[in-house]
Amino acid sequence: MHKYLENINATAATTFIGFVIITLLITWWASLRTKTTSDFYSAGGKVTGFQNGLAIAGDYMSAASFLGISGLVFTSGFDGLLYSIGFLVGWPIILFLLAEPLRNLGRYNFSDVASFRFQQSKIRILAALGSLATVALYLIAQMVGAGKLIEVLFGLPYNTAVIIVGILMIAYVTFGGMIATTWVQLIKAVLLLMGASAVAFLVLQHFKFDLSDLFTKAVETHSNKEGIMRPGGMVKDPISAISLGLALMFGTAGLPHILMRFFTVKDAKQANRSVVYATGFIAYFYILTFIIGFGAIVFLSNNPIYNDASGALIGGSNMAAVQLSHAVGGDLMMGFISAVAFATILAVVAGLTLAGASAISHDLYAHVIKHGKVTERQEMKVSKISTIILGIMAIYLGIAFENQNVAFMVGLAFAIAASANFPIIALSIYWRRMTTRGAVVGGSMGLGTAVLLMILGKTVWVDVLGHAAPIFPYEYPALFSMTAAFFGIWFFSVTDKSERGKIDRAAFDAQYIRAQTGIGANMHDK
Amino acid sequence: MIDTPPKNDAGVQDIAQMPEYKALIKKRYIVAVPLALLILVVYISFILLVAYAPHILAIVMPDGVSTFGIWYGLGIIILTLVITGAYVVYANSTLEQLISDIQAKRG
Repeated sequence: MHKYLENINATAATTFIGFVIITLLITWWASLRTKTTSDFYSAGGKVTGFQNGLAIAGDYMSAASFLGISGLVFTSGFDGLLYSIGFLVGWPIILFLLAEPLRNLGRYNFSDVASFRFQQSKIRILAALGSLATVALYLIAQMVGAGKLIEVLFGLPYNTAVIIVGILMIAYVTFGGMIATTWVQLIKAVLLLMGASAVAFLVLQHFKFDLSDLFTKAVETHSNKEGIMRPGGMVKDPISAISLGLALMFGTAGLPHILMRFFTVKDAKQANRSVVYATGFIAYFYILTFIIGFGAIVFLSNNPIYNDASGALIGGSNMAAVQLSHAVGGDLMMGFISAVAFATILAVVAGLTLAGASAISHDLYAHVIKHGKVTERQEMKVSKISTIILGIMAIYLGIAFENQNVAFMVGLAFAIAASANFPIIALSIYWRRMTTRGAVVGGSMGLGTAVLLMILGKTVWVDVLGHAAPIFPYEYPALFSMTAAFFGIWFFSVTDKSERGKIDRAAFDAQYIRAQTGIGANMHDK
Repeated sequence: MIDTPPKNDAGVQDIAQMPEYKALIKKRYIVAVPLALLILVVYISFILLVAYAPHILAIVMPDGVSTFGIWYGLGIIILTLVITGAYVVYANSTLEQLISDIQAKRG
């Protein structure tokens, strides 16, 4: 561990321990207020549009975004912008198509909406599978990221780091449910925005707020020169470009832990507000990461303090933002940013775990197994047990995957979200002729295709399994898996002549009215 | 207890006939659909440029260093903000008003 990193341990540790203490206090406060399933899953509907916007943004501004995208900008310049934009443009789509219907039709998670007029059991199983697959992949990637980050920053052993994250996340969710996770996410979002703003500000100040000056210096310094100002080799062909673009845009609309937040507000009006605030914060954040990435190019490249003997950045490109904070703000800033990066991971994994727990307890247990005949107490109990089990599994898998390349997991999570979750929700809300059978078969086709093509693609088939050439030539399956899903849903719905199909179609009108007006919807305070 | 969705109850069906409801649907999607298409087209064009014509995005701007691609990208970010903000102002005022009217009419 390099000498200056040892110095920041004190600042980082203090900030981080402060964050943990405050969030545990909040969890205790939240636990006093968490008495019903409504409280546990959706914070009793008491979250305001602004708070929810901040919490959603927080869920989105994960360590992967903050460190990953600024790292990508540091390495390739313009290509980092591709990801940022992709992550952002899904939000208007959610707003126009999904925000109000979701809030009006559902109660706790998106399965409520997806299974609204269909045969509950079948759709809930599929939706729960889609949710769990997305959550699991995302969780493993986050846990591995957390372990590595802490290892580099604080010098703790990897396994210890993963266990600490796991235990804290179990505590937040089991005791505090959605109230705790919302507040943890909120606080972290504020800290992250403050910290990132400060770093970006310091970078710009150095160039007297002249962007062109920053760009010029970065172009001079970077090995790729002007290449950083235009698309690089990140996306190698048109199909991959479109596929990635689709996954980012529509995957957002299928992430269970994000969609879950739509049910924490009072009504559709607040749901709309949530999206606007969230979009605002996220857009601002991505502009910051862009500036940070370029700042990192200028301050860190060719600088012996931050690079190892071979000229590579210490800790890898993911450490660009953290190293930059040291370069512009010294030990104090670096300590703060490190603690915030860690807090970021904690907050996101808590939200993911809650989404996973709801899939198990609300969908599988309460609806599929018990057919709706459960008491609040029973469902709450199963929720908490599920949380603990998921937490333990996350710890175990985080340790198991330590040396695996987990970057593909987030990509696959988005692909599944775009190919299984999103098509089912979107079509069930808008397309009258969709039936249970169409949903089940089409959704499964989307899910299966995404997983299969990912396995047969370069990232798994070649990099992980060691074969010579990939069977599926593109790195991103979304274009194909989404097509499979939409086609499957369409085909198996129009050819569905069953009795159930007739019920499904007949129930559309009442569902649509409720989706549009909220009349008949569950208002939490009733 | 777990709620179940309303199954075609008459109470909700009469809403379908209300002129206010029909106006709501029309007014909502006459705004939402074009805006959704706008962001889709702008974004897909960007992706297609990256894929098929990256040299266009590489065109250098008057300041001598930034590129058309960077400004296009920033433009998309700003467009996203503008259309989300605009839609919410519209939905939370005009459309909400229609919904209140429907609720009031039902009594």
